[in-house]
Amino acid sequence: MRKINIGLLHTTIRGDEKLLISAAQKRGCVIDVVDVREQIFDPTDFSSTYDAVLERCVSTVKGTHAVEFYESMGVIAVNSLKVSRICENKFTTSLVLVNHHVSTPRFALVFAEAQAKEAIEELGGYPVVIKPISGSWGRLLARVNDEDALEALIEQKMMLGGPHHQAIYLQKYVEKPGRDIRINVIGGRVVAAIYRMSDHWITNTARGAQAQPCSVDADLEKIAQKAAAAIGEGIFGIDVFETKEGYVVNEINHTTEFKNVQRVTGIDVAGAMIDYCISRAKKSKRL
Amino acid sequence: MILMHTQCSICDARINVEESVEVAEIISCTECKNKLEVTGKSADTVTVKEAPKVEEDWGE
Repeated sequence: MRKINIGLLHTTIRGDEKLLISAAQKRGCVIDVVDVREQIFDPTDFSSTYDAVLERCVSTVKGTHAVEFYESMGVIAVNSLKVSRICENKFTTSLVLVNHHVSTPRFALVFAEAQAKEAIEELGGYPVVIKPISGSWGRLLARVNDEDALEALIEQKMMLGGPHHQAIYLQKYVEKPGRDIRINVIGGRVVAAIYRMSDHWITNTARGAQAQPCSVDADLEKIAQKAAAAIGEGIFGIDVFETKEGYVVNEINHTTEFKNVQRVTGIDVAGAMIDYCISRAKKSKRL
Repeated sequence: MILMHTQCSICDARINVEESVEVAEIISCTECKNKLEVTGKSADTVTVKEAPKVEEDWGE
């Protein structure tokens, strides 16, 4: 039986990608490391030996275009273009979660200051969190505590930002117990979870939060699987808040970083991701 | 752990790099602390250039 050939699409190799390369090699796969910055995506005379591509680009723009190309050429992409398009935009993600009855913090999108003030009243008042509609690692998040701060922030966004910064995503601020949860769901299965501990209201590990193992109870498993199913088939890093009313899904990441999860839980997340790619490839080609 | 060598493209310091380093991986110069991207790898040396700055669409 021939070996499964996986193309790992990237724009830089992080510790996560090195874990994936190692996991693929342990499983006897051929893994081809493809720096998308060096590619010419021209459909004329395209040929590929890949059974699947695994998109791991740190650049969302480059990653989504690369996925669009391979998928349009008939190559299985993990994650798919549909999934990437939902997850790369926080407003789109929130709408999908609401439409699938997944608990998520209240949110609104506006384009101007007057509508922002009105929306904040409807959300229950200050504080609120303003986020860029795309972006990651907790960057450019602002907790807005009052109207003065809101006015200043919106003026700066309008004057200094590009057009996409004029789409103002507002989210009701959620009090957290000094942590949130990152849970990895792969092919509909919960694989691992960590707490991200921080004294700061932003609990991304990229912003200094400390990772600790998290045991997954039935309610957490249920909401994570429901959120993943709402987005589609794939590999997800789901951010969950613990509230008095239960778990709520904050965001969903489609090129999830997992090396901290693997380090503190000892669970082979990279292996599970490669196994999933293999199963998708086999299913599509009936290998 | 086998070490390879490179020269920082910013401060010219000689840097030791682990053999397991991959092309396109980001490393730090031990002298000037700047981030460097590995651009090539041969038997006992690697080549580097200044790493790209974090851009707005970077993340997970």
